[in-house]
Amino acid sequence: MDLKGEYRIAAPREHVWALINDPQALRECIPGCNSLEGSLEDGFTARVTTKIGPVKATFEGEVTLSNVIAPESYTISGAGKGGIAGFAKGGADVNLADADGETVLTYVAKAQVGGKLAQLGSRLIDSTAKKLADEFFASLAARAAPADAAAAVIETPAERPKARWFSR
Amino acid sequence: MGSPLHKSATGLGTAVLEKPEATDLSPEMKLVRDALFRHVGKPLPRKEDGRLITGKGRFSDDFSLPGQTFAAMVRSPYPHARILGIDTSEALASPGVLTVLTGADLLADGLEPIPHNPVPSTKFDVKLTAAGGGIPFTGPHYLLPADKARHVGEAVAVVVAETAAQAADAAEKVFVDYEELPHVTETAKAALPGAPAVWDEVPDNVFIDSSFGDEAATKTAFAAADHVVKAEFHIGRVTAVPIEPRSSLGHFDPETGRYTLYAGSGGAVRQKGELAKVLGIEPKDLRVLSYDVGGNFGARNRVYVEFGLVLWASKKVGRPVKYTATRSEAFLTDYQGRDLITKVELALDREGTFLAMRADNLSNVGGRCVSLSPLSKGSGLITGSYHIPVATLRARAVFTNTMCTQAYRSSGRPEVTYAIERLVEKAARELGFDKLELRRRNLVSPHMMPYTNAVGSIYDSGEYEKNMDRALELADWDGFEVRREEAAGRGKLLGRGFANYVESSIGSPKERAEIEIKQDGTVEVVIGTQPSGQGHETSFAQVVADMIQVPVEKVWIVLGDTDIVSVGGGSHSGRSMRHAGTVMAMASADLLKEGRRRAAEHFSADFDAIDFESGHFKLRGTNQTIDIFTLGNLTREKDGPLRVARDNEMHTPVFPNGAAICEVEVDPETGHVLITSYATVDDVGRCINPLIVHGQTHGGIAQGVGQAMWELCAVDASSGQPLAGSFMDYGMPRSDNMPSFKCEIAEVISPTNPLGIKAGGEGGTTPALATVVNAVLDALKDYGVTDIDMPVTPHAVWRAIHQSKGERDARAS
Repeated sequence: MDLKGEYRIAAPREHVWALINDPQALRECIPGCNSLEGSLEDGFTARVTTKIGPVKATFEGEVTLSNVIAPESYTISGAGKGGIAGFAKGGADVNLADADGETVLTYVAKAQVGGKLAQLGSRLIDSTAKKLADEFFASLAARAAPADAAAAVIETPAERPKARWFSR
Repeated sequence: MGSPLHKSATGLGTAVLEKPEATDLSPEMKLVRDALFRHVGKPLPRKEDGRLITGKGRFSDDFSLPGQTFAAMVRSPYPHARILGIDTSEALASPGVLTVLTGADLLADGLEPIPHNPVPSTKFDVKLTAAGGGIPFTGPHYLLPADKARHVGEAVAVVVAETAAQAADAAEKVFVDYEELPHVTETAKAALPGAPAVWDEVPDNVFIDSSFGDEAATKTAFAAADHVVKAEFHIGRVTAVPIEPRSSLGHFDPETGRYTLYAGSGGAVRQKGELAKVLGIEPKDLRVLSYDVGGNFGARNRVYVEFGLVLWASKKVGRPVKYTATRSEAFLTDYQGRDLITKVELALDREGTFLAMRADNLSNVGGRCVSLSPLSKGSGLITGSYHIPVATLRARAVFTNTMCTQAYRSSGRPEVTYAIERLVEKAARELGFDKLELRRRNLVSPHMMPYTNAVGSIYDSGEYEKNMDRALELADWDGFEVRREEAAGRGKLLGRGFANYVESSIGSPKERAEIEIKQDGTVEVVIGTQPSGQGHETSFAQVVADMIQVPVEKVWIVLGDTDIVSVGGGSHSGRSMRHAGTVMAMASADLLKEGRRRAAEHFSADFDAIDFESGHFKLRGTNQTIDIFTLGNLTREKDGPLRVARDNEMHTPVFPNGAAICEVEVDPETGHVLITSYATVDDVGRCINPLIVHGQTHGGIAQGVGQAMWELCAVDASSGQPLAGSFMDYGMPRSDNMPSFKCEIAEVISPTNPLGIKAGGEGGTTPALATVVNAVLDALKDYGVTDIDMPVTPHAVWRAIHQSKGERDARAS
């Protein structure tokens, strides 16, 4: 499953870059994040609670940044175990581009779930992942341009993920 | 589904009802058989229903023992992962937890793998071997694996706690250190070079590779043929979805050193034998009780790991241990069904006569091999109801990282019936033959019976064309055009599908019956089959009551307790009525013989002067009589209870057969498929209780239609994750999406057993997949759709319509 998205953020690129490298900002923007500890260099341990369809689970796992090219792009990856609910792992390639003093953030994300999450929530995963990604980047954008957040976030239509259970 | 319960006109009142010739029958055997032939066939309502619908059933989870504890499984979320270690400390420290057991503990205790004995073993089963003829490696099935998890959902540890909730909570605190390994879940991909190996012992995953038939003759016939038609089908993975999830309660009694297991299954005797081997104990030290079972369909025939785990854990914690699967666990880890890829080729001459056939069947057994019954059963029937002089078959089985498969309702036969009936239809379409005439031309005819097909199966009896004719009448085949036009007026596409079928019923060969005339004026029959809705308590009572000529209310069937039932093959493969009926007839004859002996003594007369009539022993030429119950009581002190036990072993298979027709209405706008009518004729041999047979057939049809229309154990191949873990994602047949069935029973008596029985019920399932898909393709023929995969969901149909339309548009432009 590939998710894509693009946001125009009313803030300069360096500002946005600093934000997406700020552990506190990440913690506050990752939906359902209860804790995020660690460092950029060594990676973070995180605790995230989320609900996919009928399954609500708290995931404990690691978040790491890689392929860092400041102030342009990085890959953010996470893998978490949610006990009997199963596991989730995923990552996003995040890219920042200058656009007339503002920043265009694009991402391509992948997510995979296993265990009960897949068995019970499979048809909701694409939409849930999309929603979570949107929430994350919208929160980031809002922090970057707090004055007029709502107006600043312009979501360009992302490519609709293919519904895998139909294309079988 | 109110369908007429009368018997088929094709089966009654014709020459086919002649009794099988048997000159070597004892006088008592003749008596019981003649009595049976006078009385059976009555649609008696089921004796067990009153009990079941008033909450008096005894299902596995209904049993509880003082001080019992509860088990929860820790299941692998990965399709293929090495178990590097399991940290149980946090779980052990959790409230109420008594123990946590892993695969390493199991090896330390010396527990053995479940001896599934997956290769069918009767003389008449097709012989499956590893490539080159060797003994196949089938993958040891330990209760918990110590090395690797081989499918999502495989139990890798068990937690036992005071309550079910505590066990479930603690199971979340068992931390398994997994090393994820490459996986393969798809049947065809697993057999390709370079696929990840599920077992190191079988690097290419293909552990069965056998060929049958006359290869040279087939090659010659194909070379000389005017036409060759080819097709490839995948009959997908489904699961049985019994209404009662599997459940088990294990108890070890340190005082007697005996284990007791309450667990519904397809036959308690098998469970006892195999679980005793797992635990390394004598069979006498294990008692298995299996009373009411809420659905089996094959899924419960084999031992489940949890059954062994509750016994082992009970000894460990010194208290009874119960485990009941959740519905999600049932979807994930009930033994599943089907999953066969079949490539078939048919050679025909100019007139449409079948000359030869080739088949290449690949069965997906999952992570370890529990049963090869589906591959084996299907292998013997690739030529279906048709006379195809020569054929070859390559039968292979492959390991994958999926749940194990097992025999499922009509094991292996719907798959091959689907292949031949769709192939014949394809041949008719491509070569311009009428699809019914092409079938008629090639059907095995009654005068060819017993008929040996090209892969060696011997069809015992049957009147295939007669079945076909009657089914066409029942379905009003000739009135189709009027209905089609009417549907077209409403914007709907009406299609009709037809399929012939023949199937085999072999099954475990041994059965034992014990019959006792009780002091309270009842008759007790102990038998080793295990009903799960088939109504044995009624139909078996009917058989015995008729044979010893007592009212049916007086006969009680005892089953499901291995302390009482010592031998028995269980209920599968359509074996129960044939095996139980035969051995009950033999036991009844023995009982009457012993009764005559006692009556002779009672009347101080010769044995030969005693007749038996209407439940009474009579001294011939006098008015002296004594009824069987009084005789039993009078002679009890001197001769002991009037009681017999009889063992029987029967290997010869029977071949139930028939024809099925359905009509479907397709909405081209949405792709929705509605079944508007469904008719079958099923030759079950002698029918003991038509009410029960019809009920079984209805359920069988629903199960076959379910696979054709909705059911699929979908697995995401890239992640190896099963996606259908609940009724949200697994579609089922329901009373509101089934039509009222028109079913008739044809009784062509089988010469293979004294009662002439074949088998019923599975015949509903066997042709249903082909019938439904043939009907959908017929409805879509004007759109140029010639192939579609099951299940034919609205989206699949809609896509087929539009894909085909797109192709035509592309060609036109």
